[in-house]
Amino acid sequence: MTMDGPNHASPSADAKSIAPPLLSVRELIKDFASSGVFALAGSNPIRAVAGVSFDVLSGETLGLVGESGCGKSTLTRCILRLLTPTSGSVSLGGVDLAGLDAEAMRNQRKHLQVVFQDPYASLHPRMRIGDIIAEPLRLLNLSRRASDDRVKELVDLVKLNREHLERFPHELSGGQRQRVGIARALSVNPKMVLLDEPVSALDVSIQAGILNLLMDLQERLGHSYLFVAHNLSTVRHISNRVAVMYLGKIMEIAPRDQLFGAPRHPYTAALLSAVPVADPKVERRRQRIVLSGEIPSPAAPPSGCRFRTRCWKAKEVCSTTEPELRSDGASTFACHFPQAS
Amino acid sequence: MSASAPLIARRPRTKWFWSVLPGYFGFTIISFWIVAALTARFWIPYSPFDTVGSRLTPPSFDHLFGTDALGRDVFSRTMAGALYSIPIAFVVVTIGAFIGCVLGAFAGFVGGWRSAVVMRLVDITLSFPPMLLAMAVAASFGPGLTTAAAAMIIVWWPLYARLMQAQVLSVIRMEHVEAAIASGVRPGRLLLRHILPLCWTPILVNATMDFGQVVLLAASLSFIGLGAAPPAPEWGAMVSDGAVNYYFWWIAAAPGVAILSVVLALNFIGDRVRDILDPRKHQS
Amino acid sequence: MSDILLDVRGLDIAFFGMAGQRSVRDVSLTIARGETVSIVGESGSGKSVSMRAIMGLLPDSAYVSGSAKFLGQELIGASTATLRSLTGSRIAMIFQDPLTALNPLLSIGDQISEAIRIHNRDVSRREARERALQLLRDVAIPFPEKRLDQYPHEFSGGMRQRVVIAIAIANKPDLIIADEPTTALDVTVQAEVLDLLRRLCRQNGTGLALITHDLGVVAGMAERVYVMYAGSIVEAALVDDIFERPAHPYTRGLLRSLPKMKDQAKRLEDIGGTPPTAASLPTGCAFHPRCSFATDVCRKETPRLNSYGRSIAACHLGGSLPAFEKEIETA
Repeated sequence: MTMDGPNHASPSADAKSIAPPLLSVRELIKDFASSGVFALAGSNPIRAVAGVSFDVLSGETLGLVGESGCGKSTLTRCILRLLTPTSGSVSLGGVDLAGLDAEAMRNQRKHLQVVFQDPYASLHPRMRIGDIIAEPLRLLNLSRRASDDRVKELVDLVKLNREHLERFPHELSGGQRQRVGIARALSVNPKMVLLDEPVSALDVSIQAGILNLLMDLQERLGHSYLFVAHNLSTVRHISNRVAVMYLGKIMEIAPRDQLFGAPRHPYTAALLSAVPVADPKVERRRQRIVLSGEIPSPAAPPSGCRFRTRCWKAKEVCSTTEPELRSDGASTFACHFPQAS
Repeated sequence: MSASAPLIARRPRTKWFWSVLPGYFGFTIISFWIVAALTARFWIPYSPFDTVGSRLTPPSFDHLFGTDALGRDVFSRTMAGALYSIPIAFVVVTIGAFIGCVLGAFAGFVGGWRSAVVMRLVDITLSFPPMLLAMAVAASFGPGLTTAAAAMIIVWWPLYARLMQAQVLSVIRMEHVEAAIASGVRPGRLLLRHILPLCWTPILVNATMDFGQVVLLAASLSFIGLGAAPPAPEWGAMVSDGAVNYYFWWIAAAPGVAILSVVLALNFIGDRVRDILDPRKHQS
Repeated sequence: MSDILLDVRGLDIAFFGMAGQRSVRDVSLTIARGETVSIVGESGSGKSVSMRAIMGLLPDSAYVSGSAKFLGQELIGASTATLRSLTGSRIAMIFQDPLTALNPLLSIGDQISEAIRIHNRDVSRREARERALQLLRDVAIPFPEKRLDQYPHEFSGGMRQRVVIAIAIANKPDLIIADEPTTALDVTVQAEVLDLLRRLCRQNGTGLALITHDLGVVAGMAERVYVMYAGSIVEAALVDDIFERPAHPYTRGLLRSLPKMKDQAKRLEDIGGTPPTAASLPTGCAFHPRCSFATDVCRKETPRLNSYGRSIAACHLGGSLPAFEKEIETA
């Protein structure tokens, strides 16, 4: 948790001169064929991820924020190779994952693990907790004994009871199940852990415990997180840097305090202003940036800037020229008319 | 607590009772027929194959269900008949379901052209009326219980292949399977450990219900002379005897009721099995 | 007294097969005309079940006792016909998932007109359509003339929830019960829908019962708040008091466990443990296993609601708790 400061903000290749990134995503594109019985062969594919690049450094947490349909889930599934990207590269510790065959990819999975959103659906309902946690350990070819010991160690690590090992997922509460998911992900000592909305399915009083656990574990084990979420206060709490996605593209990427303190992209600003704050006095005073309209369909994104249809600053140029990601030293953003820094 | 406390509720207990009763009823009947299949030869009053009385006598104290055209005791024959119908149904359903499940799981899991080959084979087999196909197969191999069973397996496996393929396709999209892939689980283990254990419910329910259908089809094949060879007390063949002598209702009545009771009982059990295995009822 | 819209007294709910364990225990609450009241709690706290019971929406396996009077008329045990005449006209409900609340085979215009004509037989089709159009304008749906003839699947989640709100306000109800109305929506859309709901309720003087788990939404919407835990109300207070002087340790725990937008304390204060289910309710105070202040009396005796200043809370230690330090937040 020592990586912060503007030096690491840039997703561009020159970050390499400081420290090679652990996870490096370049120009990732994922198209889905438009579905439906009568979909024509030549019809427009849905571009869920439309050219995304970013780095995650060793030991840091990158938050990835976006509303539903922005492509963040597709992006995580492409990184995990649960989906095959249409184009672009994902490299982990210098190894390009896109070029690997199934066996070689499986070998890399001990470095790259994931915790899913829904602790109910993501655990095998008919497997015992102990077996669920031990599943990734098969990658390491441990002896039965060593594997059992490791599982016990992990159970202690995520503060579950050893009695839980013999139970089935439905006998556990949501928070406990998510701890099982975390133990499973960490079992093989991965360098990179993807957290796909890990607390959004949990009750408020449980979320804090899981967030604390995730942060404690990172401090002890030194892995990196890519924390994908729609809840901004959670992202703010756990991340070193934050990337904001909208309709398949990154709109802004900046160190946490920079992004939350002085958002440069209008969409980031609107997103921040929409978050309800648990303080009635603040709520009464605040002025919201109210966005008009809804998120367009990724099948037919607007020309130029993707956000322009909902942006109060949009001008002619926004509809003709798509803004490139550019950096002002602190933040990197894609906007013709950024907010004042 | 307020004094005015009207209760809104009907009587769920009664509903529950009616929902489990048919299951127990079916279970009792099937147990009876299984016991009959195993032990009938020790306690039936007459030999099921030999002439033991005068021809075509109506039910009496000596012959509970009467005698048939050859003077054989219908009661003894019906009880002994369980030894034909129950095992044949069991063999057909087990082997048919096994072949179907293996091919269906393969098709669902590997996808692509290999899946297409299996599934088109399924489509072709299913496009024949099952009775006609079974008749054709049984006729070409020659009549007999074994060929009838083989014919029925050929008719039955595609149903399970289709069911299993659909089941695998739906389970494979579940998040815990995605989690297993992301954990680095190998394909073989993925299928055996993470997918198949969640596919059995509809297979089991279907197998239970099909059990009755197989009894029926076996009886039908025997009825038209493609199943059990004449002296054997197979229910379908017995009903066929009764159909020839249609003035003497008792010849067909007992085996007919036997078939009816088995098919009905297995449908009741199938419903109950589905209720018990329904995972939605176990999640809290 | 006519100011009280909804007066719930001693509501108890049990479900068949729960061995007599009550899912909701002795819930009493009131909602006044034009007032926005929030009912906050986690999943399983009984907040939704209570409101559904009042509307007669629970399945047959539920045993409901107690009283819920809407403008003096008893709702618990009322005939289906009585409830039907009230729902949609005097009381409207908004659910979390707008798609299930709409009929996929009817156009939006038809659905709104139908909602109007069910309760006002003398309104002509044409008139109802006019009013539907006006309602779509009221809920700020763009191109209402065009949208009137479209079907639910042609609307986005946020727009659908607006349609649901339009149907809810079609007959100018006295009370709207909104069960997590924005939980399924994105933050930017949530902000708009909440603004809309707030504006419409204020305009029409409609009472709003807002069921939610999101304390941020509560802070922005509610005037009064009921906090529910494990089937009971543990605290009831004005919204400012809830956030500044929470009287119940559970309310305090909830507020402390929220990640703050401003300050970055390294660790969050989590409540620890898990909420009990109706089947595993602890003795005494239901919150005691998770409460850092718990004493012997908490383990043995169920606390009753008592007043502390302007708030009421169900805690044995209510008066003797240390003062709550509120983290200052600005956004």
